[in-house]
Amino acid sequence: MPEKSMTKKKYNFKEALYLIEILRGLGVTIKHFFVRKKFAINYPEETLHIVGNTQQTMKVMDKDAQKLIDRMEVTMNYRGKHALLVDGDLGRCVACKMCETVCPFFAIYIEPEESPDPRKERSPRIFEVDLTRCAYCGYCVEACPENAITMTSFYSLVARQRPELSIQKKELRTVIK
Amino acid sequence: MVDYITVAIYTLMSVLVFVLILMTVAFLTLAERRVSAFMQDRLGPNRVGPWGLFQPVADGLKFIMKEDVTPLEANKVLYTVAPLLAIIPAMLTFAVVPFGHDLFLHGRVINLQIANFNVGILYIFAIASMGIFGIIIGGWASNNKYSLLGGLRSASQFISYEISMGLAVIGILMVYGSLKLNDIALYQGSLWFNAVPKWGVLVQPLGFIVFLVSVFAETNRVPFDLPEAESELVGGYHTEYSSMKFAFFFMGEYANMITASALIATLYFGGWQVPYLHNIGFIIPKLGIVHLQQWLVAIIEVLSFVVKVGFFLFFFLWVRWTLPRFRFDQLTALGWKVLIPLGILNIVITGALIMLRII
Amino acid sequence: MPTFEIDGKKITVGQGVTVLEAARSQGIEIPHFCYHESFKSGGLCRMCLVEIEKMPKLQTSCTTVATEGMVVKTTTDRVKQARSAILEFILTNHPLDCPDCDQAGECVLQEYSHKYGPDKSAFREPKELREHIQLSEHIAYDPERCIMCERCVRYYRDVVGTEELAVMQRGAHSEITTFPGRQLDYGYIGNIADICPVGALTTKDFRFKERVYNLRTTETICPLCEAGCTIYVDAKKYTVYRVRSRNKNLTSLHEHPNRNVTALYPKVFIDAILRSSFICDDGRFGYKKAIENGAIPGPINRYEPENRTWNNVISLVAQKIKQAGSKVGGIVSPFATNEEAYAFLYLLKYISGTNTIGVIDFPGAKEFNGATKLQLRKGSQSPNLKGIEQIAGALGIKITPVEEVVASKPELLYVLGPTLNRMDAYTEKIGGIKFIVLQDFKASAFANNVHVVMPGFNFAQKDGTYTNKDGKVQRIRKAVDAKGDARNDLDILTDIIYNISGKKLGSFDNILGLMVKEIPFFNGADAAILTTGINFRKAAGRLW
Ligand code: SF4
Ligand code: SF4
Ligand code: SF4
Ligand code: SF4
Ligand code: FES
Repeated sequence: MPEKSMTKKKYNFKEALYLIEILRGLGVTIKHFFVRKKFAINYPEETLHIVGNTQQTMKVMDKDAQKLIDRMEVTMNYRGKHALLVDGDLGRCVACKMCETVCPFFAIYIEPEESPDPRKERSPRIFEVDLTRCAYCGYCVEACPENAITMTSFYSLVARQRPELSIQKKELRTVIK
Repeated sequence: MVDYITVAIYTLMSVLVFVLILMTVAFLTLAERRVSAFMQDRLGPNRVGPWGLFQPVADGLKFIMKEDVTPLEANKVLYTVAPLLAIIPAMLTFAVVPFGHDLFLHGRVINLQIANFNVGILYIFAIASMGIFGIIIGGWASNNKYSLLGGLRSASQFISYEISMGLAVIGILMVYGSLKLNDIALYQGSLWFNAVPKWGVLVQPLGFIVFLVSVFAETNRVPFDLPEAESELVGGYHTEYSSMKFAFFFMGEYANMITASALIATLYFGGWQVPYLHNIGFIIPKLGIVHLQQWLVAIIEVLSFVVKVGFFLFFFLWVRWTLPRFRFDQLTALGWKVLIPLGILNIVITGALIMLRII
Repeated sequence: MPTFEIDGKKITVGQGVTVLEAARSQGIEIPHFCYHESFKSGGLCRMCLVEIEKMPKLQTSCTTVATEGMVVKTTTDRVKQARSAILEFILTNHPLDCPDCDQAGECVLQEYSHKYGPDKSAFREPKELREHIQLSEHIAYDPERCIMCERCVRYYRDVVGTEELAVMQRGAHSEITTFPGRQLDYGYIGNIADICPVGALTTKDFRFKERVYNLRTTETICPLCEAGCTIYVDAKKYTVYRVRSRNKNLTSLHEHPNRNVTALYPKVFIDAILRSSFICDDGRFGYKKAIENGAIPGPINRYEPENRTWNNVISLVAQKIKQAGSKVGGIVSPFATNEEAYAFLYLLKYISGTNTIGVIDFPGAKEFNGATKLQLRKGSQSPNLKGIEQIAGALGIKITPVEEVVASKPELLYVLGPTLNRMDAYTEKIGGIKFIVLQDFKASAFANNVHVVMPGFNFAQKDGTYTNKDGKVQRIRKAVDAKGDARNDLDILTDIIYNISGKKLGSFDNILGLMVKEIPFFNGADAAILTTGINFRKAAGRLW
């Protein structure tokens, strides 16, 4: 094996003194201390606009905050709450359990039934996503052969009790209007 | 004869100073988080009270409510004593720091200083070295390898930097010729070439740098916070500590910071001195005199002290959120190979300058 | 005995063996749909085409009999092209929406089109949508997915012999239906779901319940009659999802030196093939009877209600048995395994000194329809009656009806379940008996009236052996975990024996070893039989 050798960079006097570089560093931090851009969002007084695959806009409680963050949006490919897409009245999902199988965290539970849709054999009787288990990895979306399940940019996933975060078929179908 | 009124005044003063230090410690914890947040374009804690001002109260409550865990194999007695050893010396050191000129009240001389020793600086060195025991003992008594390593690092770091710190201070002693901190502060008011105040930083620039660096190491602050290096030693010497015991270590560190800032201010920035301000008011050479009341002068002096200390506290935070941590070999190399020779060089130069009657 | 060459390998096979069978016996895979080892090949699907030297066209290997000097190639480009073309043709109207289909995971078409199929189709026309048909109340038929292999038709013609099914219409519209005025009778209908290579025929019972790839398959024995058919139990955790025959796994049969074409099988082999390929509908749909989990969460002690731990209950029972001496009455269910029966009879004979035992009587297993050629059911619905008779005989214990045991009013009555509600009739008559112990997995009226109930396992939860009517010792295996605080019946019995006499009988294989040594009937119940259930080797790893 060829030997690896590294040559240490030779410092010139200015660098070797450190002090000047340290002062420069201090300059950078103090600049940020006084001149700040606003990145942080004071949730829940301020909220982000949800755009992209959901048309839903969250209620913004604070008018001023809204002005401030008007241009800040959740990115298109943010992986938030799940949604089941529908064609007309009927859901697209065929309860094939691909998503349930692929989910590394056992967050999805499905019970199939005979489908009312003549084009399909099965549809979910129960479709449940347990958001407290979900890691928002998006595998289920990748796995779905029918493009039925998708993830929205709905990020505000808070509830007072755990069962509220276990969302059912009906709710999943109405996340996207 | 014991002068009860004087005793009462000093007692009151020490209680006041004690409370003030504790308050400052509390708000320093908040300041640290806010300052770091601002430097990183964040917001920091802003939920408890206006601008998050009551955050320290919430933190304190949390510390009190938390479960106090003592590791099964720990040495119970030493484990309990260590936090106290860390915080008490930190508080005691402040006793000799003057925060104003002597006051003359109804025939009494009141020093704005809790104890006006004639060996002030030695006292500081003596007591500050006690604080290190808290860390070493805490590290050893926890019976945890990380804690022990933290304690050991702390010991070797302390030995290295105590020397350079002492060497830097010798320069100051040579210039001002007193061990009393109040005298040192006073002398810094005298003018150099009749124009510039003889502040330590101007008279001893090299000594100042050596002292500043050493002080950072002494207080275990970044870039020298190796005894508690999170990325290497979990929590260092306080890995096993929880609840109020942990809080004591925490408070000890911040109290040390306050003392260190006060020392820097006193030794190198004139302490309570305001340039050209004397007992009777501002005396500006060749221009004239502005007369001021004694109480007003005292207030200006105390304020000046507070501002200087405040700046150095901020400086501590500022440095912490700017610099990365040293590696341990770099730390000792810096101490032994750079700072100690520089300290000695400083003494030689100072001696020469004194011989030449420049300072 | 012709010798011929297949893919460069020279092999000798029996007279009349087809190329496909010969290839399978060599582990060479020739894809096929319509061939099935249980009935005559139809040569319908053309999937099994191979190239044979000196024959200008590709030949269907399932119908071509191997002859001396043949040179067969199964992997040439021509063959591959043909396979791909056949699959493209089969998929013309096949929806290929496997996620939507219940067969996915065990579908031959899915496997083959993945392995051999074309990656795109030349057909641009939309696929035809067709109505689902209910072939019977147990079977759903989806003509879209049917590949017209006619296995189901030939099953009803060759195996069942009643010829209800036929192909109607032609071309893309053809579908499987019953002849007008005929219907598929309950009896052997479930098998067509097993033999259908695709998802066209599915049982209503299992449809949509669970994905097959989530299930764990266990080889075990059907407990619903004395025939002891070999079955697979597909289960997940605590739940049995379906029971199916060990159809399609007879590869090793082809290695038999006497192997011959189907028609030339000796009688016993035909029996064996049928018995392992097919099961009756009682076994397929009725398994729930034998596993239904009752509501006995833990030991019940009505004698000393405060002592309900297993240790308390077992020492109480042991103490009572000791007190009762030879006045212990024993009743055993024919659902008990050989090992349990042995331990129980050992307890009665050597520890109490009782010389009679009652065996719970289950009604006879009737054939469903006298007209069928396939007649699998045997004896009564008691899977291990023969085994209990043999063990009792060997230990010198007389078998009497249950009434007599109850009527003799023993000091202590010990009932070894599962009783499956058959003891409920005696609930009134047990009045005078001072202490009654029951081992059962399921709550019943009888269980509510006894002093001690020790929850045991059902057949899918335990390991052991059953002896069928023909005297074949077969292995049952644990397929699911037991919920709650139930215990293995055998462990309960051995614990009681240990508690009384300090003798350790050990686990199921120790006891089996003991029986093999002591009871001549069990001689030869060797390891091979026990691991496979029948004299065939373990199923090949493949699904098909
Ligand atoms: S996003 Fe990931 S964790 Fe969440 S349900 Fe889908 S597969 Fe499961
Ligand atoms: S959401 Fe998609 S992957 Fe999940 S069951 Fe429905 S069709 Fe299948
Ligand atoms: S029958 Fe087989 S190939 Fe056809 S859809 Fe079902 S699983 Fe897929
Ligand atoms: S239903 Fe199944 S077994 Fe019957 S012809 Fe169609 S594919 Fe073959
Ligand atoms: S298996 Fe040979 S033609 Fe179908």
